Order: sequence, then C-alpha cells, then structure tokens
Amino acid sequence: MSGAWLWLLVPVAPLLAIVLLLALRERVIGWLWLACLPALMAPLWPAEGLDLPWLWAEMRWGGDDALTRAWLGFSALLWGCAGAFAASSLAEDPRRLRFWLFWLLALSGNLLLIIAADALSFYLGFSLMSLSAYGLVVHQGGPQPRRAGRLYLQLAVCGEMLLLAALLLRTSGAQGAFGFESWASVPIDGLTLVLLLIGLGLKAGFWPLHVWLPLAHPAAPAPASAVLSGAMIKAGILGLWRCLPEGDPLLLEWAPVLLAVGLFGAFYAVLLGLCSRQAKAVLAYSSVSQMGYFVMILALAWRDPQNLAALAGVLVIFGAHHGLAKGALFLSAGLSHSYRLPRLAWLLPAIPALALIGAPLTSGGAVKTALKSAFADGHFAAWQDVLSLGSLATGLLLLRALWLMRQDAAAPEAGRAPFLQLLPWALLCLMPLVLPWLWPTLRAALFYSFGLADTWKLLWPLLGALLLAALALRLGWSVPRILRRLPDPASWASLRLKRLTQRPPLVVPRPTAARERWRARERRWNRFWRRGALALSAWVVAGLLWLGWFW
Amino acid sequence: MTWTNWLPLAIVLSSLVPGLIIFSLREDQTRLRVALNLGGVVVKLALVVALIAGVDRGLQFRFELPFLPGAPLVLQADALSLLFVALSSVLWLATTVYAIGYLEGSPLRSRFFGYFSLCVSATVGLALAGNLVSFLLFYELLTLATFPLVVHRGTPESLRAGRVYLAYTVGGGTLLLMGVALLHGLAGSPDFQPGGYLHAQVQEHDLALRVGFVLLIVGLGVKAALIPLHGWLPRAMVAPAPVSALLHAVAVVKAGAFGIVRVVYDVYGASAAAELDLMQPLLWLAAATILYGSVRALQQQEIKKRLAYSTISQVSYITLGVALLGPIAAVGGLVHLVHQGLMKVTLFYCAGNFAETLGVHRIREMDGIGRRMPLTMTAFSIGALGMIGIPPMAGFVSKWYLGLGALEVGQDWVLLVLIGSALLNAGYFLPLLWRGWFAPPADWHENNWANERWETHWMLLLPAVFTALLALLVGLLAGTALSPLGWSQLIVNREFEI
Repeated sequence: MSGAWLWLLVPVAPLLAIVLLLALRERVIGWLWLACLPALMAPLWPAEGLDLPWLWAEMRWGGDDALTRAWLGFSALLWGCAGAFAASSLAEDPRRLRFWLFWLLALSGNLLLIIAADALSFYLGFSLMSLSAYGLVVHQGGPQPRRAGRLYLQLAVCGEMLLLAALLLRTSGAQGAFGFESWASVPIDGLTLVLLLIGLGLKAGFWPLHVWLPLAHPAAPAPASAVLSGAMIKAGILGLWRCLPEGDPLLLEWAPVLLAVGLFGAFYAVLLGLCSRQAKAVLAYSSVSQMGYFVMILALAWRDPQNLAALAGVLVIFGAHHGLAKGALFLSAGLSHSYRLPRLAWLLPAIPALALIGAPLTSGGAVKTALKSAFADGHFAAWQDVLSLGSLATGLLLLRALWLMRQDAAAPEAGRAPFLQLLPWALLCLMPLVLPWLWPTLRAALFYSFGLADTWKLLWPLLGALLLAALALRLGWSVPRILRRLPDPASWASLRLKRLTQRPPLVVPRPTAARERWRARERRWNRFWRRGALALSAWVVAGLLWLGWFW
Repeated sequence: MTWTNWLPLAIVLSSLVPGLIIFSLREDQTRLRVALNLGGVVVKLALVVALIAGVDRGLQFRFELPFLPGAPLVLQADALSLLFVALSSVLWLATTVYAIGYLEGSPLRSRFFGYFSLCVSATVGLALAGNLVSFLLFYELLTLATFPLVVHRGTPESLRAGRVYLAYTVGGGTLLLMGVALLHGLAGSPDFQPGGYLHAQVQEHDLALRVGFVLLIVGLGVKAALIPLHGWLPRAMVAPAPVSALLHAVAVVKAGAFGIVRVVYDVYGASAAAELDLMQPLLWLAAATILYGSVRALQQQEIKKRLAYSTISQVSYITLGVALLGPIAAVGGLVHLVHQGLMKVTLFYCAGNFAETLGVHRIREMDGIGRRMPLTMTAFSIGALGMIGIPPMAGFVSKWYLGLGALEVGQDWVLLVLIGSALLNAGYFLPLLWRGWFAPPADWHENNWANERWETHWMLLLPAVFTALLALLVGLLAGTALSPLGWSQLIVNREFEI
C-alpha cells in the first residue's frame, strides 16, 4: 500500500514544485531539478499500481512491468540532468520564472504518461506535456522561435484531436473500457490505426510527420531541446506500443508498410540533415532518423507477435540509449555555443555521438546488436544488413553535427563553463559508457555484442563514416547552393492557417462590405423576426386551428 | 403539509422575497441591499443542500397549488432539477459577489439587483417546475425579468439589443405556449416523469405529437440559441458583464437547453421520441449550430462577442447529447449543462475584469495581460482550455462522453463534428492565450482599482478564481459520486432504466 502511493507522487512532485516556485520565486530555482526524484526512485522500489477511482472510474497509475519502470527511469534521469543544467544556464534569463513553470508542467505530463496504465491518464499526461512544451519552444522570443512554436502548436493540437478520436473509437470498441490491459485483446480497425499513427506520430516525429522537429529544436534553449528530443518525442512511440492490440491480423498486414516508412525515414532524414547548417538542426534530423528505427521495432512487433517480449526489451534499451545520448549532444551544443571548453572536454560529446553510431563497448553497440538479432529472428531477416548501412549514415550525420558544433564554438575570450553546467553535462555524456554496467538488461545486451563478428559489424560503419568525413573535409565539400534553402511547405501552410484563423488587426476598408455578409444576413434575419414575429405566430395559430378542425 | 412540501417553494422564495424588498430600497442603502442579496444567496444555498440531502435519502419533495383547470402549479425536486438548481445556486452566489463589485458606484443598482434576483427566482422555479404548464410560467417570467438587465445601461445599442431579445423570446414563448396547449389538449398536464408520459398516444396522435414537438423545440430553441434562432445572443452581450455571465451560463441559454432535456426525456420520453423519428433533424440542427457558432466566433475581434458565439456553439453540445438518444451521450449532454456553465461564467468574469480594470475590450488589446493580471488570466486559461476539451478541465469530460455516446448509437459522423469544433475552439481561444501570456505587454490606461492590493477589486477576482477552480475540479475528480458526472449518470440511469 505504502509503495503504491509513490506513483501518485511521481507526476504530483513537479506540481508541488510549481507551488514552491510561485511562493518562493528565485530562491527555489536551483532546487527544482529535485522534482524528478520520486520518478527516479519509483523504478528502484518495485510497487503495485495505484488505482484512482475518485479521479475516474478505471484510472490506474504505475505498474510492475519492466517497460514502465525502465522508461520512467531514463526519462527522469534525463529531465533531472537537463533541469540541473538549465538551473545554471538560464540563471540570468529575464523570463526564467515562466520557463520553469512550463518546464515543470511538461515534466509532470511526461512522467504521468509513462506511468499511465489507462488511456485517459495517458491522454491527460500527453496533452499536458504537448501544450506546456510550447512555452519551452518559444521561450527565447523573436520571429524564429515564434514561427517554430506556431507550427509546433498547430500540429500538436491537431495530433491531440486525432488521438482523442482514436481513443474514443478504441474505447467504444472495448465497450467503454479504457485500461491498456483491456485493450490488448480488442481488435483494431483501419481508421483507428491510421488516426493513432498520425496522432501519435506527430509527436514522435518520424518521417513524414517530422516537419516541426528541425524548426523547434534549434529555437528552444539547449536543455529544453534535450528533453524534447530525448524524452518527449518518445511519448508517441510509447503510446503506439500501449494502445495497439497484440497480434492483430490488420497489424500483420500493415507491418511491411510501417517497415518501409521507418527505413525510408531513417535514411531520408540523414540526407536532409547533411544539408542543414545548424548543429541543433542536424541533431534534430538525427532524432527523426532514429525515430525511423523505433518505427522499425514497431513493425517487427506487428509482424511477429511471438517476439513481443524480446522486442519490448529492445524498445526500452533503445529508448534509454537514444534519450540519454541525444540529450547529452544537445547539451553539448548549448554549452559549446556559449562557453569556451578545454580541448580535452571535446572528447566528452564524442562519446554519445559514437554511441549513437553504434560503436562497440557503448550502449549503442549493445542496442544495435540486439536490434539486429531481433531482425534475424523475424520475417524481415533480409533487411538486417541495411542496419549497418544505417549506422554509416548516422555516423556521417553525427560527425557533421560535431563539426558544426566545433565551428560554432564560442570565441576564445568567452568565459569558462560553470561547474554546475559541466557536471550534469558530463554525467549524461558518460552514460553511454556507464549505463550498460549499471543496468542488467543493457549489460546482457552489451555482453551479447562482444563476439568478433559482431564487433566488426559495428566497427566498419564507424570507420567508413570517419573515412568519408575525412575525405569530405579534405576536398572542402560544402552544401551545394541549391540544397541550402530547401522548400518548406510546412511553415508556409502553418502561416496560411494562421492568416485563415486570425484576421489582420486593422480592418482594411473596402468599397463593399463583402466580408461582413454573415453579420448582414443575421441582421436581416433579426429585422425580419422583429417585424414578423407576431405575423408568424398568427399563422401558426391559424395552422393549429385548422389542424384541430381537421381531426 | 410538511416541510417536504414547502422546501421547493422556499427555495424559489429565498431569492424572490429579497428581490422584491430590494426594489423598494433607496439607492444609497447599499449595506442593506448587499446584506439582502448575500442573505438570500446563503439561505438558498442552505436550502438546496437540505434538498439534495433529502433526495439522496429518498424523500419526495412536492409543492402543489391549483392554477389552471387540470394543470396545477407544481414544484418538485427530481435528480435532473437538482442538477440545474445546484448549478444556478452556486453560480448565483459567485455572480452576486461579482455584480456587487462590478456595479460599485454605478447608478440604478436597486433596479438592477431587484431584477437580478427575479431572474434567478425564475430560473430556479423553472428548474423545479413539475409539469409543462408550471415550466411555461417560469419560462415567460424569465424572459420578462431578463429584459431590464439586458437594457440596464440604457445606451441606444443596448436598447436595440433589448428589442431584438424581446422579439425573439416573445415569439419563441408564443410557440412554446401553443405547443404546451396542444399537448395539454392531448394528454393533460401530468408531472414530468422519467420515460415521459406520451408513449401511449404515439399510435393515435403521431402527427399532433410531431407538430407539438416542433413547436416546443422551436420555442425553446430561441433561448437555447439553435440556429437560425440565435441572432439575439451576440446582440445581448452589450449587457454588463455579470448579466452576460448569467445569461450565457445559467439563466437564459441554459433554460432553453434544460427545457429541451425536459421535453425529450420527461415529456416525450426517449422511446416515444425515437418512434416518432424526431431526433435526427434535431441532431443535424445541433451539429450545424456547433460548427456555425465556432466559425462565427473565429471571425470576431471583440472578446465578449467571441465568447457569445462560442456559447451558441457550446450550448448545442447539450442538445446534441440529448438528440443522440443513447445513455452515454445523454450523460455527456447533461454534464455539459453544468460544465459549460462553469467554464463560460469564468470566461465572462475574466472578460469583465479585463474591461473594468484595464479597459481591454478587443482581442488585440490583450497583449501581455498575463503579467499585469496573472490570476485572472490563469482563470481565463482554465476556462478556455476547458472549452477546447483539454483534460483535466471539465470540457473534456463532456466531450469524452458525447464522443463515446455517438459511437454507441452508431452516429460516427458526430465524432467529426466534435473534433472539428474542438479544432475551431483551439483556433479562437489559443490566440487569446498566446496574446495574454507571450506577447509583449501593451499600454493600458489603468482606469479602476489601480491601487488595489490584488490585481483588481477582490470581489471581481474571487468569483473568477472560484469558478475556474470548480471547472478544474469537476473535471479532475469526475469519478466521485457527487460530481456532476456522477449525478448525470444517476439521472440517465433512471431515464433509460439501466
């Protein structure tokens, strides 16, 4: 009983922190990262789920399954480190109170959706997180973040509504039950599946629903980008995993389509990223590409339901690995942009980059090998060699990101990075090396990848990428002019949508008042009604009398 | 005659008597007037709590007075009427406090508060009315009591709005009268009862019942602002903010929607209404109203105008839920009766606060207002997000049940209407929130309350915060038995006999 109440504290702790923030203002900011503590403790103390019937009849938070606990653990770790980083990096920001308000709200939502064992809690957390993240995206102010934030918010609201429709359809199919457990055996129909894929995919940001990511990430402050890319977008994948039934014939049919989407996205995003000239945008494209791999895991699970347990393991170690490594890289981008780093410190961001490429001995190597063996066990075994090619592409992309970071590095006269930022950053950067030894699931995968053949398979894409990068550097390759400004239909559509819904503040006088024709019609109707009410009543009375006579 | 007979009457009188006394007060007897107002509210709330406790223990409350041959004046308490009585009493408390603060120092307060109390008495009477004839009586009383409130400012614009209001509602009242007379001729005027009392007549008088239904719905639809009978509502928003709040959330618009619920469930009954094929057109009308109101709201540049069109759209959710004729959708519709009231009243309080404190009337003047008036803006945000249907605000609960209910009866297209309306709601509320919280502050001319301890007069601030909290809590704690959701489920269980 006592352990179960810890689940309540997980999403509520950030809300309590908001109360403290409002009461104590500046004084408490340095301690706000502690709001993640209950979430960090929950995975260590296994506890029963907590039923909350007074919130809503079937509501249930938390559970004893490995997926929930591990997902919660890495998300809380990332949020905590990024929070500690932000406490120092935004210390001088004039709007820091607003930042922390949205930060804590988004944190609460993200933690809630992870521990949710029913669709409504998930949706509650999901929308809390999505809407609050808007405040993080636009925090820095100015036209660029505004544009990014607008696109983000429009897509987030649309995605949420599609998700709501899907959840309603799913609940209705399950006779009103909305616990994830009761959905596992309810078959799904095509419409619901499409709604779920789009609604959650807009958050997950896999191709072709990725349009907001490359705009939003460079616009947000570094710690916000870190949690956005490391923790928040994974909510989409987690939602897809939870909402879909196990072993449905429809999913079986759709698995190849999903695999194609994932594969194409994994490579196409790399191409887009290579054309980009901002370190954080390149990192965002890398996230889009990595989301392609998550989609592939889903496709594998749909195609071979008997491997579901193993794939859940792959999903969670991939999630933890990518979340922490990508978070570390985003923090690196922010840190190197504003402070002078010692030469040796540049080795630290190389660790998460190498891990994402899949270098041996890192979490990335372990995850890539596990993914490969998952491919080999299923019906898509023929595609497993594409993964090595994918590692090569990721390698090129991340080397470009590191190179851009180095180009963008602060001038030598900039100050030294404060210790309070270096510490969480270094901790996150070391995670790909340390985490496999701390976490048994990942450790097993790491040991599994130690074979000679496997090591070579992990190593050659890395070497290839290094070789190609050196070649490009030697030849002085730069992005061709034609690719520098790619067309951006999403931003254009977003602006049109805004113009559609908000007319300009000053009404331009026109010779004819054509735009007010609705109002004119209503006025005319008002006048008619004012004059004609009695006449109308008289007619109706006459009609009734006639009816009465007719009977 | 025991206390169970007198309690419904006492609830009506608890606002009627103070109202009549207030009429006779001099303008400068402020303290006495405030005491009478607040005393009435407190007495009414206490009586309502007693009523709820009594009904919960299974007591029958019924007051009867001979009125017309075959149609006595009946006041009685059933679950549905309690839902509306509780809503109007709680919101009357908030609105009274708000109105006292809002009208401080303005002329003609005795007239205002007198009619204000009459208006609430009529609303409560209408909620407690036990048969169609009593309902009609209070319905017409409400029309007359509201008119002086709409024209209270006496400007040409408000007088014009008052005339339009009167034309619409008197016309609607006439149709309602004819409908009631028709049904009275067919079946007399027995008490409202779950499942209706007209089922036996369906075979014999199906045409007359259909004509009667159309008359009743058109008559009630004027107040419920169904298109094309909505024209008076955007006009009437020239009234002072507390009146708008009352009009849009509790009294007039809700009276229409409540009447539709009564007619469908307790006069015709779900089964008779289904047999007569009456609900499909009503459903289309409600859906069209929802979308039309939202689209029109999008085009408005004034805060209160936008809120007014939003009301047209949101109140039709209630009609939609009723017209779907399924138990789950009915829960959604009934619960929205309360939820829309809480959210919309919050929004109107906040709009009034902006106008009174900073002279902000138009949307583009709201830039950065969140920094000057954070509490009001927070309350506004809760109301607006609830209107869009973002959990855990109250609006989400309604939307969830309406959506499930539509799917349950196989009307999947309604989902499209709900989603479309939510997107439109987001389209016209989110820009307001963006301006309030993120835009750089504008220059306001601080006209009133600039030296207050709080961001505005506490009597303006407190009701907004109170109703916003309620709107949040009823959504968050929807699972408790005494929440509007739990109560609506009880009503629906009785109607559909689950």
